Amino acid sequence: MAVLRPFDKLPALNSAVLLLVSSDEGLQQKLAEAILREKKNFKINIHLATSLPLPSERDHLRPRIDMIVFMIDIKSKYSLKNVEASLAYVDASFFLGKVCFLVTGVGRVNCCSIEMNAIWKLGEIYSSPVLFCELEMEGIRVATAQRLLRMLQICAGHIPGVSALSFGSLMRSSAND
Amino acid sequence: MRGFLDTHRTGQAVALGEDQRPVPLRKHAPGLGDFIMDETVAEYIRRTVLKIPRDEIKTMLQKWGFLSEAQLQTINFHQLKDNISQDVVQLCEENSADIKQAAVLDIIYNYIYPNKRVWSVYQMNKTGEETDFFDLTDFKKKIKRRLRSALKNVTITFREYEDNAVWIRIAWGTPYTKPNQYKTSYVVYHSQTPYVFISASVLKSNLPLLCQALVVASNYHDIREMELRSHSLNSLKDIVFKRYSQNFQTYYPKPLRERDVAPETDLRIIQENKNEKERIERVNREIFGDGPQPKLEFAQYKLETMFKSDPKMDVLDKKEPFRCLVKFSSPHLLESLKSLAPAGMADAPLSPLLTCIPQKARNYFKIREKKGLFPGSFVSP
Amino acid sequence: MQRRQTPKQPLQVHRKKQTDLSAWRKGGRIDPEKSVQNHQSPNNQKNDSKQDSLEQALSYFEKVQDRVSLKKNNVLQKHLTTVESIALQRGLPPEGFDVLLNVALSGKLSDTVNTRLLKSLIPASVIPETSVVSSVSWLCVSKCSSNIQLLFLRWLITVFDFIDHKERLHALYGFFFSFLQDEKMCPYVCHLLYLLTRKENVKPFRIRRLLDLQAKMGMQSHLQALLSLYKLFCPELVTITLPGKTKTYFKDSEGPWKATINTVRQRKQENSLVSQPLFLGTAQPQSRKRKWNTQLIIPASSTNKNNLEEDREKQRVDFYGTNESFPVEQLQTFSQLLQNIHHLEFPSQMGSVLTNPLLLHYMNCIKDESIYLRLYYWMGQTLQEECTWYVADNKQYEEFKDFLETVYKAECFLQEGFSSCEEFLYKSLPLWDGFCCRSQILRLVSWIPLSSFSEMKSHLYDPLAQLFFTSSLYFKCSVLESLKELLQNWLNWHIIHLDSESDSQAHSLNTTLSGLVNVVAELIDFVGWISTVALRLENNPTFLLYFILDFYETVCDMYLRYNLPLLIMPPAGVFYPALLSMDSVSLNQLCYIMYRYRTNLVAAKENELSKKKILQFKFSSQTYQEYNQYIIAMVGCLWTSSAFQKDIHPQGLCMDDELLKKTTVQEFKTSFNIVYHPAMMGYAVLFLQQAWPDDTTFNFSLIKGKKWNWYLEYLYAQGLKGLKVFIESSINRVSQASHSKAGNMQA
Repeated sequence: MAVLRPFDKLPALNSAVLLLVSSDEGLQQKLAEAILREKKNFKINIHLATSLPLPSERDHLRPRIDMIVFMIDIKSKYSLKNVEASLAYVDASFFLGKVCFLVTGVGRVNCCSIEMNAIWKLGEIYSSPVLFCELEMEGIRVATAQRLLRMLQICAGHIPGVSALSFGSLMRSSAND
Repeated sequence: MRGFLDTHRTGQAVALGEDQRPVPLRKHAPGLGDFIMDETVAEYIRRTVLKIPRDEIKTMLQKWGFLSEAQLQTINFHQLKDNISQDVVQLCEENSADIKQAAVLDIIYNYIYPNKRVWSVYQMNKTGEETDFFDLTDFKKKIKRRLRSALKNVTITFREYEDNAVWIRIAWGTPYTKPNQYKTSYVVYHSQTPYVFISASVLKSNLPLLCQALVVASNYHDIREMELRSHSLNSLKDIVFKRYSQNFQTYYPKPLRERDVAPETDLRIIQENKNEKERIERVNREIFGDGPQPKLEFAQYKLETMFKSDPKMDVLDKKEPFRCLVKFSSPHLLESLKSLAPAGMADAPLSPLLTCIPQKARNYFKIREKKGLFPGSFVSP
Repeated sequence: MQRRQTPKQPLQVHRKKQTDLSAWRKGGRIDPEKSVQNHQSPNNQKNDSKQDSLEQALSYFEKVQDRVSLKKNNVLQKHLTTVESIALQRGLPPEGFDVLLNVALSGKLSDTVNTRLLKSLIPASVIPETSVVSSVSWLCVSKCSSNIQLLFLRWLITVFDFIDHKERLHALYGFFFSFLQDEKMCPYVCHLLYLLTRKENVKPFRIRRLLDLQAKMGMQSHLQALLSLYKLFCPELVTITLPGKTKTYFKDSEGPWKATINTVRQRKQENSLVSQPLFLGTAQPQSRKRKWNTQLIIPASSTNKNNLEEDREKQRVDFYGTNESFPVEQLQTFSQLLQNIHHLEFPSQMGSVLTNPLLLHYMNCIKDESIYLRLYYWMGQTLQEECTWYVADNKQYEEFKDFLETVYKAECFLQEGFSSCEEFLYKSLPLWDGFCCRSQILRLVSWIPLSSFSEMKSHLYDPLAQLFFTSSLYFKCSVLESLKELLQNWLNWHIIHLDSESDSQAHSLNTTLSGLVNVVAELIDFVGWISTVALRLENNPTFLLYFILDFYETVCDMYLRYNLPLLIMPPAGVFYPALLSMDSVSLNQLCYIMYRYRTNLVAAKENELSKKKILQFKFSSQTYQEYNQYIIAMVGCLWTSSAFQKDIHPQGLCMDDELLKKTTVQEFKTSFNIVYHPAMMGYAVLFLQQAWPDDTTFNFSLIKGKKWNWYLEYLYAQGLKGLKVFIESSINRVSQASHSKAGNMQA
């Protein structure tokens, strides 16, 4: 199966491509729409997938992907498993700052069916940041969309002097020493 | 069959009690003391009214037609239900209601709220091809005769509805005890079909008798339970009358076109798994069709298959079947099954064991060790 | 409608001391005030009928005979449903509790009925103490099953704050204590005792009993809770050591009631907007709003005056005069506080303290650890339970926000952070999305007490940094603002404790000066780091720079203003963007900061020289060196036009002439001074227009010599005070004589 690579295609001018991987398609769609609604000065494409690998028949149509967001629903063990299985199809160089885990449903920590530690560990193993949010709530959805957009901008190289790698290490540097 | 029948349009009722006393005419003058209403009847009416949601009490009483419009005007329907029911009972007392009228009210309630009961489908068979003309009066007479000859004390109430359905309410007694009005059986029979929908009473012992009476009254030869049960009477009808929407080839193109023009598809959002999703949708539509699914609450599979283990370990490798019961339940089972694959929780297509429910018109299965080569073949009991 | 205004009712009832049901019913009928209210709403009829059926139900339960079966008895069924539905809808009136508790605990009816009755005991306003006392007596004769006993205890804990007086309940302390031996009841009894315990309840025999129990049952959190409370009251009696922080002492015993109580309360609040003014004038409203509600009212430990008088008399007779306490609800003025300060008792509901400034004053001055423990316990519980940030229910969200706001204000008032609040922040910050209750959370952050760096780092800095880097400019500024306040709060704390060094109350953690210096230095380093990154990410916006420099305005003055032997220069990532800023505000701010650094450093140097003894803390030479590097860069940039030549900072803007020539910028040498600096050029243009109105060539080179001085005066007049103090302090005008421009300059 095809492994997703960050640099096997040329970037398009003034645009960024985000890949959202989530088993909950409703939330995924909502988040994508929220991101698109944000004002920005570059073109953005969002690819939605339920899991990886991506179907190979579309490989030639797919632009270079700048950032992958894996969504994990705190209430669904299945979503975590799905993400863990999908991670195998991501090239290692993606983990140099171009992957992020988005934990959703934090508003219901009480109905949590996932060990929080498992999520922290996932972030640690793949050295990628873990963001928390509750996408059901409009305000938080917008705030989360903005945060992801910022990261995407960096991953797509739109912020001079800040690379995905350096930003990734910033997000981590605190956690690691 | 007179008097109160003309006030409602949806159907007509025939009330027949254990004694053949004619139905008393409605008395408009209140306070007649010549007939004292039975206390159990009063309580039964009261409880039936209490079951009805408050804002529907009035229309249901109108359908009942036992109380005059003028009498209904006197009731304050905005008070506590408890008080409404008292008022209704009082008026019924004025009209000298008996159990027959009370039973009609109960039928009306159950007709509007069939989902409060569990219904089971029965199919009747004929030996010959002779087509009889269905005579309702004869049908009723036969049923009454059959049941009453065996039990003596039975309240049998009929009510016909426009969709060719006859509703039969039976309160069972014994030769020595009065009928229990709170443990009734209901039968819904569509005269042009071989199907009968029975909501059995808790008193199960009378079921064979009831079946017998039905077979005799409708000129059939034989009756069998179809192993199809649900709260939703209408869905059962949909299934056995094949009324639910099934897939037809002509259906394909339309939803696809709809999909293309749907406003939600922002061109900047790209569905990577579009093909897979479309496949799932196609498969799903082939199996479930486009329309809403009939409503069933559960499906039960009794497994009586052999346990297959590694031949090296001879644990449990016996000839004895491995017994196991699998029960799927959901407020709306078929819709949930339908959405399993699109939600990514199961692979499409689903096992035929799950998807055959409407086609086979049954939701209780027994799975035995296969005898042929067909996987997943199952044998009816 | 009329019944919803129940707060009126309990008052009357208390005054008359009526608990008899029939009397209440009569009273309810003839009450003149009620008849006044009667005409208010057309819905009265409906409510009246409800009221009637409740009355019927209550009188039924009052008379009910033994062993009535629920299944067979319709009347019982009916009345039970009535009670349940009314309780769920609007709660029961105070008078109902006596009857229902009696019947539920007497064991007359089956357990199913008793359970249902107990579950529907939702107070509409208050619960009379008498009914609770009599039900405890039922408990003692154990007529009811152990399940019912447990349920009753759980109920009692849940509704504890709704009981109108607690004096007699306190008198039953010994009874409750004796229930401890029941293994099943023990946890709940502990919780109840925790709520009831006063100092006089702590007796050696009780402590022994608790220790025995602990030896028998092992370390149970509920026993520990009670022991730790005892220890707080009488540390001399409880000598064992108890584990410090326990998150939850008690299991959630609130079971089926809590949610209903809340909804009943909310429903009432919605209605109270209309009905409240009716009784506000007549008496103090008695309605017990739960916890930290907007109209948080102090729960009373001993409520009305009649009672108090009686008690006083009794006390005099019983020689208890010395224990007499002043009821907090009568505390209205500051002078009252002063007069009664020796015999005040805190309300049983510590949460109410938060909105009462007088009690906060009192709390601040008595410094009783147990008070803080009670408050923290309550607050921790509340924060943990009610943490419903994300729940879509807007009302709850608003309530929670208000609560955090209240806590913050109380912290400001007491000038100290609450440890329960700190714990809450540490727990929730890693899961925070940076949006919910943003300003409240960030403000609470500013009151986090000093603690060890490792703890701060993993709980505060790390999650904050992640949020900071990914969030908006506005969020970044808010974080900087709250970290500045955090720093100031720490510094203030330090200076206060410096003044009262003998004070033994000083917190044990990080009291050593070096500890403090380290923690503060780490905070400043953290801010320096995130500021550098933020400026890079956001492309140096003035707005952000303002907040960063604002932080350093506190940092640069720590030595003189807060007497802390620590000065840390801003990192180059902050210094240079400020120096090369396009905005005069930032530049001016930077000048002021550098001036204060200079003043502080000079003072430190003088101190060092004058004091013969070796100071414990000395600024490292690196700080001086860094300061000097910056000052050279600044002077080069603002005065001598030698920014590219003289800058010796490793991350500075020193550049080779050859390289500069390649930029093809003409006269790069003069690109930076107070005339040509991009932040100043605007002033220079205006100055030129005023000095040479006819000249439209904008010949900046005209500003030199005397004009240079005029220009300076002009700049000062424009409000650039920072620039003024900086130039006056840091630039040696004599040395300028050698400079090309300075030929005709006055020294």
